[in-house]
Amino acid sequence: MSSERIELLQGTLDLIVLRALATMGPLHAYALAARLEQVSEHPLALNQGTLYPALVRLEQKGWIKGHWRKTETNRDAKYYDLTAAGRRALDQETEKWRRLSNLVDKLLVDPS
Amino acid sequence: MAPLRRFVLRLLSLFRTERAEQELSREIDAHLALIEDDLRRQGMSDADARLAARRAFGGVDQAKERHRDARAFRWIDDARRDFAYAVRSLRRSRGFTSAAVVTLALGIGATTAIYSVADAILLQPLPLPDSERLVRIIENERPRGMQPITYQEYLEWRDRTTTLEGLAAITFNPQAMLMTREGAVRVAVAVVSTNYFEVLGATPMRGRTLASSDEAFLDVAVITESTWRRQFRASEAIVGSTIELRSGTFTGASRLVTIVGIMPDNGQELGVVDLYTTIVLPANARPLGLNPLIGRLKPGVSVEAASSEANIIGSALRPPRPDVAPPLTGPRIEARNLKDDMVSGLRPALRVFAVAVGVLLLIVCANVASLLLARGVARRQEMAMRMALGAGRGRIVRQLLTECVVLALAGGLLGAIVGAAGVTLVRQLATVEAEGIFRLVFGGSILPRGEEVVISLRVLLIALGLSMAASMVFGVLPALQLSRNGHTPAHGGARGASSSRAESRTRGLLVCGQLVMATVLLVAAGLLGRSLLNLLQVEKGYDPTNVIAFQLVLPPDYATLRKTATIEHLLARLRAIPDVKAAGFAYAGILLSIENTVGTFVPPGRELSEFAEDQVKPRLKALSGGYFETMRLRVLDGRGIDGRDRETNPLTAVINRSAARRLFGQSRAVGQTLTWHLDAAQPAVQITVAGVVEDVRQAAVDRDAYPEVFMDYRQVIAQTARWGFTAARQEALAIGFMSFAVKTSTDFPTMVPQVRRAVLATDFNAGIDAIQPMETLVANSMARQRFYAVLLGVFAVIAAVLAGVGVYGALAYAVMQRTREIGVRMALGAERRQVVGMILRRGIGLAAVGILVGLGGAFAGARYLEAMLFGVQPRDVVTFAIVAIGFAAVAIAASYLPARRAAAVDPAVALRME
Repeated sequence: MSSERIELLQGTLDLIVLRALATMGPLHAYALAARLEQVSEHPLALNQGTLYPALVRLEQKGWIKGHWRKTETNRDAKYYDLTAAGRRALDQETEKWRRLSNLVDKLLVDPS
Repeated sequence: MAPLRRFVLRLLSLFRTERAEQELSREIDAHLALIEDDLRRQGMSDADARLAARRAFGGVDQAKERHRDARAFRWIDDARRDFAYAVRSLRRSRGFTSAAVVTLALGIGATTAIYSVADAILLQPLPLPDSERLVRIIENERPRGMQPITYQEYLEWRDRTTTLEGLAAITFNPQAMLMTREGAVRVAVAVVSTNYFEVLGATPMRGRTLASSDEAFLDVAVITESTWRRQFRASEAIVGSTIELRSGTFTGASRLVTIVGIMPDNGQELGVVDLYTTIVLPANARPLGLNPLIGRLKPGVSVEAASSEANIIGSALRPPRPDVAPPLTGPRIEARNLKDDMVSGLRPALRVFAVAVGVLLLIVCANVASLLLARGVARRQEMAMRMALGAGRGRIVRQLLTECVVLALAGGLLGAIVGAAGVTLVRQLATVEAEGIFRLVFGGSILPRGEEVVISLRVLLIALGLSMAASMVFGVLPALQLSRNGHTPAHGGARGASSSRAESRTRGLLVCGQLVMATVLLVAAGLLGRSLLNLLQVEKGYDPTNVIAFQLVLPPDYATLRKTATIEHLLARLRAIPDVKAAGFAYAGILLSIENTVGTFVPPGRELSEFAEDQVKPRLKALSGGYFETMRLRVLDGRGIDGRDRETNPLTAVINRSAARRLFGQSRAVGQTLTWHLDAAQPAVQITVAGVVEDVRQAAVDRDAYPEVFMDYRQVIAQTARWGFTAARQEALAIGFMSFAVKTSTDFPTMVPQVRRAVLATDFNAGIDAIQPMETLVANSMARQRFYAVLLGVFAVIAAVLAGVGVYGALAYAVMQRTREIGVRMALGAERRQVVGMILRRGIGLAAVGILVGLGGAFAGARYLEAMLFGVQPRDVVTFAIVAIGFAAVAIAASYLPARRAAAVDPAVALRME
């Protein structure tokens, strides 16, 4: 299992979190972690604690915003929601990522 | 935008740690609870669910740490924690901390103050554009009798120079009057060539400066800011208005001049000036003042090139030196950097102070170093304990460094305050309390450019840096030693002899060094103090006690006769005041440093040629009856000038002792006849010598008396009139500055209104230029020596106290370290006396070495003080002896306290100390 583990590139976690929130709407940290595991079909297997630095980073940048709310099971949890600035940032970051990954793909495919 | 926002928030997070931490804990708890809920729903037991939740989450503390890293700048937080710890630990040892901080503050403060002064005066450029290109033309060793550069010579010089962009002339006229609605006011007038401000590059604060274009209409003037405020109540309308200026050699008898501008006070570098005006022709042949030429070098031209050109032009323009003049020791004429020339008088003194304060800073560093060493050693056990508990060496060093930084910062902060106070003190000490004409004599301050002196941030930072470096080195040294030795000396602080020997050598060296430096400072201060004492006790030849000196101002258009009548009436009125014991008049009072030499006095049976070439001819001093009584001049033989020598009587003179010795040698002067030769064109006249008085130090308290011939001022007018002098020259010699002296039986403040009333009652148009107690003038005359003595005295006392504390600290520490040894000795039968002797011997040894080396240093360096001393040799044995004995006593006293503590050691307690 550990051999299948993918080390996340610096900064990609932020992008993934933004994407998840854009798709799913407001999520708390646990739901976010569950979503990431579900989408990646477990190979990330990240410690859920590692989300926290990313969350505080994004919140300080003003891209997400946290609110305390009740879950369906009537527990308190901090839900994070994408802000307008976050939505714009997601578009930009996604574009940037695409360009980068295209470049890397090309370089890897090039046989010479 | 987003990165900036994040940066700010990370900074802010440093201050909201608590709330963020609570929120984070709550969020993580909720997170764990949610996982557990899910797992329980899948059928796990509570305990298993809790464990599995933790596993899924990962390390809670690690997550929190990483959250903190992302949330705030951690290194700041760490530094803050170290800082807080340092403050706490320093506050615990209050004695050590306050000693170190106060010592540092004194050192940093004193250094900052003195170097700020030196920096502002010696190093900072003059506040004029490209001021390093300004030069003054100086004629060296001008022989007696050769007049200074004339206006005509200046004009030709200006046309011939090729190294200078511009050449200006400035000369001072101290006798000009400004006519105001309240009567005549004396103003210090600088008479300048029209290009003066262009050459200097000075800019006015209102209106314009004088300019070359003013050649067409010369009746223009520029006033200074202080004159504008004082005489014209800062009226904006003053520029463009016309004022009346009277009397004086270059300004003409009476001139109406238009004020065209106001100059700021800052940048008036060349003398005390109230008003600038132009040189009016025909002044061509008249000599200007001393070294009146100021030039601006062309870009790229060196001072040396300008100097050699000035020597060529000057030697050609100036009359040849007479054959009898002593040969020149250097070039006859040179150009000198203007700033260097201005500050040259103070440079040696400032150099002495800079060295003194540098020495003081060294003492301070030594003191702080030994304090830190002692503390470091005392904390060995604490450090060893911490290392044993796993603290890294780097961590401990970092924390000790933080402590040193905190110490140095506290010292620096306090030092900045001390430094600012010091600068104020220096400026105040240097300020001379003088008004009117006395301001011209004494200047406003004994520091040239005194107005520009401010505390220098750069200097403060350098001093702070130095002391920080010193405290860091000595603060961390013990820790490094500790880690080099590994953990062994954990208990060695009390016992180990091997490590403490090296230490005690270091501390001994530090203490000795302090003693050496303090001794040097004490000797210097002692020499200057003795100079001041000598000055205070010097036989001045007059008694300033309860004497009021003032200058009368009369409208210059009064005829000479009216002026003398006014003077006589005023004297009568002053003498009628009940509290007045005596009143007198002189053309220039004592300490005004105004001297006139008129012709040559020849005793009977001798030739004119024997006296005509004297380097110091007797000065002529015109005064009234009553002046000798007022000043308590001692009549040695015959009588003084007492008012009976009217203009119609035969000429009578009173001479002073120096003049009597020169003119009559051993024979009695009284009753003899002097022949007064003016020049070949005028007939010589006979004067009867009526008395001889004791010498008076006329010019300044520290200047020797010169030969003088006193005559009644009315006789001087009568004789100079017979010789055909113009009224202006008659008055310049006989009435001059109209100095009055009044001896009273009461204090100054109660007398001033009475004197003013007497003046107004005598003549409604009369005014008073400057009225001050004679004692203040005497004090002003000693301001320089007082400044030197007080400043160096302060340094020396600080140094001595610090060195004393150093001795005490070193010995007290040694006693603490050797408590066990002392206990053993006493248990084995040593007497208390022997223990005291043992500690005292060490103190006396340190003191002997330090003081002897210090005396040697002072002996070698004392000659640098020579120019600042009065009546005492630089290697004055008495001063050296007093310093040595006194300081040795201090050192012994400082070692006696620890010695007594050693003697009080209880052997039983000392041995049980393990």
